[in-house]
Amino acid sequence: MLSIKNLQVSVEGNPILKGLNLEIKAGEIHAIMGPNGSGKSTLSHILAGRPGYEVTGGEVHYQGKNLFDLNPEERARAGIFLAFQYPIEIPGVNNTSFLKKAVNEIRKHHGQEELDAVDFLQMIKAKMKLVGMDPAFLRRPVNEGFSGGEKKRNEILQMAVLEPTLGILDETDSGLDIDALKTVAEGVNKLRTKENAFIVVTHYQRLLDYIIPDFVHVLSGGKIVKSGGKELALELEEKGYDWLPQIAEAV
Amino acid sequence: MSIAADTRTRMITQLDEWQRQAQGNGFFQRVRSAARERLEVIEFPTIKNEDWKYTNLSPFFKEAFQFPGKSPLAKNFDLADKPVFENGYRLVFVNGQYLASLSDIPEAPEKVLILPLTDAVLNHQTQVENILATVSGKVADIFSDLATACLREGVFINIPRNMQPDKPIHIFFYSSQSETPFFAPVRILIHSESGSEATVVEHYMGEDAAIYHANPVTQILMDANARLSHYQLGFESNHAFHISRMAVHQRRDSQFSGWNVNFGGRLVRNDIYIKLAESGSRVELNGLSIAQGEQHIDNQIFIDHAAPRTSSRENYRNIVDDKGHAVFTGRVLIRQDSQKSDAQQVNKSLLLSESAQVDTRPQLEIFADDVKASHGATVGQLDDDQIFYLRTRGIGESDARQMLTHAFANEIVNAIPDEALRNFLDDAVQQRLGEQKSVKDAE
Ligand SMILES: Nc1ncnc2c1ncn2[C@@H]1O[C@H](COP(=O)(O)OP(=O)(O)O)[C@@H](O)[C@H]1O
Ligand SMILES: [Mg+2]
Repeated sequence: MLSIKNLQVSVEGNPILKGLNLEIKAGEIHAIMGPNGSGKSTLSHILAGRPGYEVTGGEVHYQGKNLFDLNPEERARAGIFLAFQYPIEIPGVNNTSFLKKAVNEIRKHHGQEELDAVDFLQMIKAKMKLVGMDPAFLRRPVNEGFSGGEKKRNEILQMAVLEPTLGILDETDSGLDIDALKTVAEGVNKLRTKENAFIVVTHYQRLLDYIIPDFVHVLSGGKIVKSGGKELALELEEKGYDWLPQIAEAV
Repeated sequence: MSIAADTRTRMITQLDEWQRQAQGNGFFQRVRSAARERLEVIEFPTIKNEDWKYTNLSPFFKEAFQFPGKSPLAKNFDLADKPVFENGYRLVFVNGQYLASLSDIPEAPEKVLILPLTDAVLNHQTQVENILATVSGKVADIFSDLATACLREGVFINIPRNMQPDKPIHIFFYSSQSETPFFAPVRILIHSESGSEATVVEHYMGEDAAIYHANPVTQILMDANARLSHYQLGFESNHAFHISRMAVHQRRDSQFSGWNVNFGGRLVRNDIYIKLAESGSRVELNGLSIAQGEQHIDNQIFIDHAAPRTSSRENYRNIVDDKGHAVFTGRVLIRQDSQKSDAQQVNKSLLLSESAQVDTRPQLEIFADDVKASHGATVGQLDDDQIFYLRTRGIGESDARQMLTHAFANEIVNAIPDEALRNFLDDAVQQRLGEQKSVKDAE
């Protein structure tokens, strides 16, 4: 589904990703761990199409297409979803009209009929229940004045509504209490099918108690320096990152 | 001679001719000739005048506007396709002239008076005179004197003590395309007596290509404890010149809420003067302007805190695209004896193109020591992170921009208390921004 080969990315002339390789197949969950500043958010953003990054080498294919040929909205319509580490506040745009517009853009892309207000509300209320959100949030402006946990739930709500093929969760677990964390994990587990895949960027192993990854990768100094199964997360939890040889070198 | 002086001479010549032929009772004649005399010594302002620094009138001087009466009255005019409000009293003016046949006002008014000015001067002359004498705007202002020198068309509203009209009062000014550009001075006189409460909407609309000079002058007198919600909705033609004057005189504990919306017009200049004349009076002014193409929209507000414990809130927003130009001047005067007063001013502008222009000037003059006064002005662009966030949810870039622009406007629109008006304006914003988007998408 997603194939990243030797990806090199710079920001304002500073290389951040320095030859990253990753293969993701349908049905898989990949966890990406790594120290702060190692490039996890940069990778997430570049997959979602955020402007301001310079791709200096390598290639990324999504469903057989060159990802860089698609702009952010085309990627979203093709099933890529990024749950932001720091969700953006949008005063003056209420959550309902935002979500309705998003759903209908994606339905339109798939040749489906747009949802009317009644059908949309019915659908959204069911999804809100799934992620444990009060329907009162529908009337509020997108993320404005939401607590950290509420913003993260709102991200998962959007993911539940848009049903992506490739979901990327960028530290969705940080700042969450254990109940919220479980809700997020349940959301992902319910969405999980044989056809879709997830990249779960996390700092902590605890999320991986609830979302069981098929692979764990360590990103450090702009490269994946170690990959393994779910045991790797436990090992990292115990020993930290310093024992990995390339980390010492990268620092 | 300069083009400004030429224009003045031409207008005065036309005015004298008009005055000779105009009918009207003695009262009208008196008021007109006093204004005519003042015109002898007033020139059109130039950009050297501090108050007109950012508004150049030269496009205005290029048009030869015909005086009232000469403008052809649209005979087959009807309201069918016009956005009039169902729920309300209605006064309709076409090309500056009152159309009784399309208006809907109380027939034998006993309490609330809603009348065309020409009727009001017959039976309620003292009340009309009272407003004209008490509520004054800026002295030596050529646009109000021009309007007064041909005073005739307009509206007189009187809300008696403790009365609350059962419906809002809508005044609809429509301008249609005509062979010659015309001058449409209208006068809106409102007296809110003590303890009364009312909603008045001045709604200006012009046919797409119509060229005219709308020159409304509004004078509002508010007695103790009166409340008034007042809307000026400007949907003039993109070729029109809309130069309005409004003065409000507020007595003890009265409350004025004003909404000033400017979407249309080639050149718009609104001067608002609020006199908080007695203690405890409060004013809240909200404004939303959208300047696109080559539109120029200039709002000049002067709030005069002339008594203790008075309060003012100004919240004006501009959306400027293409080669549009928005100007905001917010002068606030807190006089020496106006202790415990409170003035807040906010002006935010959103620039959507490289060539869009905004000039914003807060002018605070504070002579009392125990007061609160603040002002804030921001000029910015759409937020790239917000655009990206929306796009990652499948929303196309130009839709995302439009949503965010609309959201910026909504911060004003959503605060409108009247639901019908709020919905009307919300649609109007969407439409105005949408039209622009479709032009750009087509390019
Ligand atoms: N917009 C930017 N401008 C300059 N440097 C940036 C920018 N974004 C990220 N970086 C740098 O890139 C590196 C990786 O950042 P990031 O991808 O956010 O790491 P992580 O998510 O793993 O903590 C950091 O050194 C950070 O300072
Ligand atoms: Mg990060």
